[in-house]
Formats: sequence, C-alpha cells, structure tokens
Amino acid sequence: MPFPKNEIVMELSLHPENLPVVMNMAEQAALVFGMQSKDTMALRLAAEEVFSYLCTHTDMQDTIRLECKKGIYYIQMDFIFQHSNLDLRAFNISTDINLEDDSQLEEMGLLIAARSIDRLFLNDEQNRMVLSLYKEKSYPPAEISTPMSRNTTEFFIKPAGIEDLKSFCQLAASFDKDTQELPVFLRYPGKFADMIYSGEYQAALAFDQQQAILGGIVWKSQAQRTIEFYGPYLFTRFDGMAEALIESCLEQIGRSDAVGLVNRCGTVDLSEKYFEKLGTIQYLHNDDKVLDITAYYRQLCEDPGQRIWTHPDLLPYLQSQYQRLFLPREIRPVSNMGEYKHAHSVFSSEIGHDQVILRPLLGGEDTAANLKGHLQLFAREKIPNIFFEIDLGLAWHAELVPALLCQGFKPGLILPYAGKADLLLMQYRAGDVTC
Amino acid sequence: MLNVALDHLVPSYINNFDAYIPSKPDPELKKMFGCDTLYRLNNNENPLGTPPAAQELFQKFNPARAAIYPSGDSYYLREKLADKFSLHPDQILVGNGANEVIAFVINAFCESGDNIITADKTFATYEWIATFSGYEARLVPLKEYAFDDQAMLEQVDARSKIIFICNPNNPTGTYWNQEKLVRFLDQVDGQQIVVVDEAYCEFVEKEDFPDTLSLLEKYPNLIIFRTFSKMYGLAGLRIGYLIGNLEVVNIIRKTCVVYSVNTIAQEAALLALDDQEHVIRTRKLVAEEKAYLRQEFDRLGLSYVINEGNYVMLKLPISDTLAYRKLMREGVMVRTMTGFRFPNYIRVTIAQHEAMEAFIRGLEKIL
Repeated sequence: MPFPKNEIVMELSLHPENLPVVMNMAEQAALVFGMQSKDTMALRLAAEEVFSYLCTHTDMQDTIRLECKKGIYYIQMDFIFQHSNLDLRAFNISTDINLEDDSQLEEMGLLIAARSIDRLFLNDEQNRMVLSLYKEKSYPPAEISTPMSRNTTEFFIKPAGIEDLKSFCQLAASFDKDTQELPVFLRYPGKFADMIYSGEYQAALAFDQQQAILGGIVWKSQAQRTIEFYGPYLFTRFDGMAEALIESCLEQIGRSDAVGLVNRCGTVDLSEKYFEKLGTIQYLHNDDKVLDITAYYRQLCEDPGQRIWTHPDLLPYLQSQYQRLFLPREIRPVSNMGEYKHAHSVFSSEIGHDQVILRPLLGGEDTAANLKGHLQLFAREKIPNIFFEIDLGLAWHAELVPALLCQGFKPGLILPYAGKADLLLMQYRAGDVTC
Repeated sequence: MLNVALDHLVPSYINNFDAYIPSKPDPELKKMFGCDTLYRLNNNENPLGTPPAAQELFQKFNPARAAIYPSGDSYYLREKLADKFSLHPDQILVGNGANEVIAFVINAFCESGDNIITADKTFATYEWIATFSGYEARLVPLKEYAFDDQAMLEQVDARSKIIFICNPNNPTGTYWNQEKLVRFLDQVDGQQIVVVDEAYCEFVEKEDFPDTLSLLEKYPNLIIFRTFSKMYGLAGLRIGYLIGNLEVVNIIRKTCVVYSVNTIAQEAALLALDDQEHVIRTRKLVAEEKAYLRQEFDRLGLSYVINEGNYVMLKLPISDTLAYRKLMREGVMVRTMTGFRFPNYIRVTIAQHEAMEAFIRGLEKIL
C-alpha cells in the first residue's frame, strides 16, 4: 500500500529578510518528516546557503516556491522559480569564483549546501527551474556477521515482509564484507526497508523451505524509461536461482512503460542469457582504488528505433557502438555553421559524495572555459569521478562535444532511452586534456 | 509550461497507466533496421490473407459509398451470424475489433471498486482496459502454461464482476476442454460474467474443444468473443463480435458504440464467413509449418511451446528483445514476450514456408 503523500509548500519573495523563514521551514519540515536533529540542521544549513545564494546571485523579481516532500527515507526540498528573465549563469556551480583565492571558496553557497546534504541537483523544467536539496535520514548500518551457506534442495520466490528485507540486507552486507561492492543503501537495513515501503524500490527474494533467505534482487520501480536494478545477490549457490530472481523482476516490470533495465553496479556476473554489456567505466574511490564498472542492459520492449544527433567527432564511436548493440538509430551529424550561439554556457551539477554529474542547461561560446572552471573546482574539492551527460536526442548538446573532448572527457557508455533519446555518459580523465 | 491543470484533471488510475506503443509501419522499420524485405511474424495474422470473395469486394467497392454511414449495428452481419449459429440477431454485438467489445463488457458491468479476473500471461487487453478504466485487474499465474481454474476461483470476491478466459490462450495455445469449462461455469454459478475469448478458435481441430454456443442457454452469464482478424484475414479492417444471452447482451448494448464498424468491414465479414475453403487451407498450412518448426527447433536444441493457434512460443538463450533487434536486421519480425511476462521467449506467427525458412535462417545466424 503506498504511503500517504506529505508535502509542505510555501511561496515567498526572494528577499534576504525572508531567510529565517526559509531556514525554519527546512528545519521544521525535516523534524515533522522524522529526521534526526543532525540531519535537520544539515538541511537547514543547505537551505540557508541556497536561499542566500539566490538572493545574491540572481535578480529575480518573482516569488519563489518552496516545496518540502517526505520520501520516507529522505526529505527533498525544492526551490522552484520561473527563469524567463533570469541570468542562468548563476547556476554554474563555479560561477564568479576565483579558484586561486581560498576565501572566495567559502562564499560558494551552492557548494557548501551540496556538502552538507546527500545530493544537490538542478532541473530545467520547460520555463521553470527546480533546484533540489536531497537529504537522507540516518540509519544504523548492517551488523556484519560470518555468512554461512545453506544446504537446501529447493527454493522459491515470494514477496518479502519488512523483517525479511532487513535480514536480506544483513546477509548482503555480510557476504560483501571483503569485496565492498554492495550499493551503499544495501548496507543499511532500516533504510532499505523504508525504500521499499516508499514504493520507489521493489525487491524479490528467494527462500528455502525453512523460510531462510537465499538471495534477492532489487530494482528501482519509479524510474521513468530506464529502470536501475541491483543484484541478483546469492547467498548460496543453487542452480537456476539467479535466473529465477531475474525472471521475477522481469515479469513484474515487463508490462510497465519502462523501456530498459540497467545495472551499473558491474559487480555481478550477469548472464548473457538475459543481458547485454553496454560498456565499462572506471570508477575511482577516494582511497585511490579503481573499480572497472561494467554496465549491463536489457531492453524490455521491441525497439522502434529513433533519431539521434552527434558531432562528427563522435560519429565513428557512435556508429560502432550502435552496430555492436544492434540498436537501430538514424544518426544525424550536426556542426555549427556560423549560427548564433549564446555567449555563456550553463551546466547543472549533481553532486554526490564521490562523483559529480554535469548536465548542460545551455550551450554557449564559453563552453570550454566554463568546463575548465568546473573541472578546476572539482579538482580542488577532490571529487574523483566527473561525468558529463550528453542527451543524443538534443541537437544542441552535440555542439558541446569538441569542448568536452579537448577538456579530457571521453565517451564511456550509451544508456539507451535514458534521456529524450539515448544518453551518452562521458567520463573525465585528467590525463586526456588536449587543450 | 503546459497551461492545463493535469494534476487535477487526470484520474490517478490514468496517471499510473502506461500507454501501449504499437510498432512503426513497415517502411519505417525497414529503413531503421536496414532490411530490404520484412516477414511480419509478430501479429498472428493469416498468412493466406483475406478470403478471395472479400478481396473481390475491395476491388469492386463503389467509392461513393464511403460518404455514407455504415449500418450502425452491423444489421446484416448479425443476421448472418445468427443464422449460422441458430441464435437471435440481438444476441450478437459487433465491434471495431474484439478489443472494442472487451471495453463494452467491462463498461457494462464494472463500477468503482470492482475487479476483473484473468491470467497474468495472456492477451493483455483485458488487463489494460480494466486498469485504465479504474478497475482492479486480478492476475492469476498460469499453471503449466494454462489458465488455472481453481486459482482463479480463489480470487473471486463480492466485487469480482468478470472473469476473462482466453481459449485457446494467446500466447501459449493451451485450452480448456468442454468438461473443464462446464465445471468452471458450474462453480461460478452465475455470480460473475464469464468471458471466453475465442479469437483463435477456428484454428483448433481438437474434438474436445468446447462448443461454447451450446452452453449459452444453460449458462446465461457466459459471453463469447470472436474476431475476423485472425482466421478470416480482416485484421486491417478491425471487426469482431460477442455472443451472449439476450438479456445480458441487452445490458451490454447500452455501452456499445454504434457506427464504429465501417461498411467494408461488415460486408467483407459477411463474405468471409461463407468461405470454408479458406479455413481448411489455412489450417493445413498452419499444421504443416508447425511441424516444420518443431523439427527445426529440435534440431537447434531450443525449447518451445507449441499448442493450438497460428503461433508458437520459443525460448531463447538470449534476451528476447535483443533477438528481436537482431532478427529485424535479417528481415524477420517476431513478437517479444517480456511484455507478456515470459522473459526470453518470442512468439512466432505461422506463415508460408518461405517465411518460416527465413525465420530459421535468421535464428541460426543470431544464436
């Protein structure tokens, strides 16, 4: 049964004297939604920084709308405003910063906000902008125990109760203690149970006749066209169990409007019987450990084909990838032929703990310089993984490619149907800068 | 920003429903996949096409008649069907394809809070229409590829209005025989409408296949669906019908969209009904090509589900959607079964030998 929707909404002028109202809204909403004091204060700080930043860096005359949404295991606070007369450059996270001057870094409200919460991201939704703060509740970690394989002659898959889900997490964390390859959310049983309860995630677990958990698979159920999944995790080797878990997941989402199923954990040996390899990216941990992450994909419906746009520099790569993946695409090369470009580019930055994903909001003459500014900032912040998402369904994104290539970005993965069309995930490699 | 209050206007059951996107027309697909020819083995159409008499009708059709409304309730077709089946014409309702008559029935009997019951791995339209109309669709797992009568009965509650049985089942081809259907109807005991969808019944030659028409008198809650899209080769004209007890059909008539069946479809259906030779030729071709496929699947070591109907199911050692894309490059279009909740299966329509050979060649190439 879906949990009841709970939202707190407020509209106010973007004026510095309203700052205490915003801070109190963040704090009180977090308390009402069940966050602990530490998390509440983190959200309050982030809201303070964002509101102050918007007051200082924009000339918005309109009211701003604030929405706090309870997500069971997280709170999301959205700052929503019309951008018709707004200079979007303010949303380049590196805007107006002299990277040589440490004191200026302290003025970077958006970055401070991002540091205090789990995720900060900006969406351009037609003629409005939504800047979202995302703060998760704190949960106790799984208790690691010595895992024991069970001898069993039979398994079956059934819907799991809350305690089953928590036990699954404990087992997954225990089996994973050496490899450390489990997604972070599976290390917190209470959080995982809340994620399932929220309806955002689903799971199928395998049991033996004594109701002991033998394995499981998890997927995000509320994604739009591409569903991310995790697993299958097997706590005992049993012929056919991995396949049965995968099929259970597929049967449950087979009639949804999702187009594809993707696994970017890359840690599970996913059978070619069910999946296709999209490609591999290198993921750097803060301890300098490098993981090769292979992304697996499976389409859920018959591919109708689509048109995509590319810069000629990427044409050979895309042609070879689409040929390899048997994905029917009409590839249209585009290049600037002297037409008008905005003076300034704008990128949104989705900042997590050890990665940042850049997405273009606006192309401009200064794309290369703007990228460089972002990269310098992320280097200072010691963010090890930097990605740039190109939506191959948007022709103007293709024009960003030369700047991306010369700043050290390389094509990494094509994620079919993950954007307006396919998304090309480009990964920054510091040694590959050519300009 | 869209200046329509969609959040307020759209019911939650519509928001939560996912639209079905049909495949693109052949020329678009050929261009996209780079194939010169395309064998369509995805929609269970009749490989022999439309019966000759109906083809002649198309050639002679007076274009001036396109400006005139058709018979609003398919008057002559209902008369002909009633005569053929020894029924009253008002026991029959004709729709723009059987899909439309599914909606008639659901609209006639369901209201807020009601549910329908069907199988999880069957023709999806019962589930879709119920869901986007705001009713719960209770889906019962198949048992050994067949509808599970007892499990379906266990799902019945006071708000269960309609039970849909696809007989033979699409895509597994399994069927309930007369004895099983009668036992089921006895257990339902008139408390729910029981729809038996016989879209593929003309392909079945088994003696124990139910004679549902003979059951109508004893079981007035029984409704039979038939279509001209499959055996009669009129899929492009969209025409199907339902048969039921007069009193029950009079209720359904209240939700029936009149004038939805066009003139050519009605007249072609009248002519198609007379062509028993077409049925015999089609059955012969289906039987021969099923035997060919069975032999080829065995040779390739692939497991399959071959039962009734003009289709077979094949389990692949790779993703069915990847197989679809690879086969499209070979000029063969099949139906993926992930959407039917049969991951890694494809459904293949039986067609002329040339098409079946092209399919096997393609299969050998991609596996």
